Amino acid sequence: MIKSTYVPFICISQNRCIHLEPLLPSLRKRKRYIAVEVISDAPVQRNAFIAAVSQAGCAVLGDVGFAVCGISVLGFEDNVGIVKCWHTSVSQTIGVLTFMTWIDGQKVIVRAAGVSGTVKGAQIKFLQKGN
Amino acid sequence: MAANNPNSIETGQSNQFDCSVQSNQPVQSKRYFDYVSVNLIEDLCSKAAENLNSDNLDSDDLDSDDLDSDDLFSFTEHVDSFFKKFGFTDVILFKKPGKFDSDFSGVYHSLLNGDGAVRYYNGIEIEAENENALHSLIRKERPNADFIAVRSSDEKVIRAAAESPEADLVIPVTYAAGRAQNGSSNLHVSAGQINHIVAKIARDRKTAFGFDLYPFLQTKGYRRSKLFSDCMEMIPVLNKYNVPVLTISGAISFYDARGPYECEAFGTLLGLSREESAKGVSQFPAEIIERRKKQRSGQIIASGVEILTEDLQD
Repeated sequence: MIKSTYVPFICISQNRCIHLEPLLPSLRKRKRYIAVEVISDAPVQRNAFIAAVSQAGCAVLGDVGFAVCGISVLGFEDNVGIVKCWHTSVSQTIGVLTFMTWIDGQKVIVRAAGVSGTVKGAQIKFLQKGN
Repeated sequence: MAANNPNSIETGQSNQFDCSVQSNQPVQSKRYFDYVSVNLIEDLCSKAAENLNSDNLDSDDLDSDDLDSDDLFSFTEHVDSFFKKFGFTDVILFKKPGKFDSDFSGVYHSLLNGDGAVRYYNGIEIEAENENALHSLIRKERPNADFIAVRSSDEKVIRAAAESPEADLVIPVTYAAGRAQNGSSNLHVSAGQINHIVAKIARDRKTAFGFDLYPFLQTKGYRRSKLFSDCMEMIPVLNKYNVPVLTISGAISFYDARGPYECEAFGTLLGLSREESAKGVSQFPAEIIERRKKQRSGQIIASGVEILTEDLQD
């Protein structure tokens, strides 16, 4: 009798990095995308915003809490952007954004414009093409 | 167009966020309340005056008498649009007892009397040293105020405020200016304590408890974590006795303002459930305002006795 065994697809590249097959969609963590707007006197740079998010996240939630929330900045330009987090930690993520008072030496307000399940949804619903 | 190409965001391509955030919030049918200082109105108007390129309006010479109807209208429009952008429908403007003396007091009065998209209420924030002073101040200010809040970290004053049926909100956190560090002010904050007796009294007298973001934004490090832990201790007691808990911004200047989403998130960080924190920015303040409105119009005769329709009066 032949037993069927599942062999994961392993690809060894030239750099000898092993790439596992991606997780099934049902096993992946669900994500939420928060559209944010930064209100400030001068434009805020992308790198400064990313650094401020991680700094505020660690200050408010702690290193472990920040890791649990899965917060990352997807894109940021012209003082608007999208912040990603796991669907269980939307409130904590908005809480972190709330406590961002200074970015790159200037006072700011970080406003959560809305939360969506997809990047496209966040853009269409909350971020409008410049008019 | 960025909206049609969501994957391009993750690649970090440029020119995909050359867009403006929509001014209208997704949910506008719900009423969202905030509790801000009149100093914020002053700050907003000063910023607006700086931005105005009018020849006849000089910010140094601004006086309430100098503001003509057009200027007044533009300032009130500016304040309205600010709160609308954040998604608020109702704003309680609090001030200390006494007359509000400012260059922009005309704007303040026109906001209170106006009937724009955002409704404004006259709030008084009382900070008393002892119970007697508290009672006398409440008695003095109640007839003129839509909303009375008591801020104290003294247990006796907190209990007296919870017992008073005339007080609407108790804020058990006080702050005083501290030495500035690294360009940011570091407040001296202290939080009071409550027990089950105070919570029971507050529930029976329909007095709400509130936590404002301002002292949390102005502190950091150990002070903020201590403040968090002190406030977090009160939440389970208040929840156990179903005392309404409001989460408010308490903004004093432009950069302290936060939206309803942020206030809700602040509530969940304190330990409230999502439903409770959502009620804390919408339902609970609406109930307080409505109850006071009914009392002032004579619809509520006594505690538990209310005239429901005009027909019953006849």
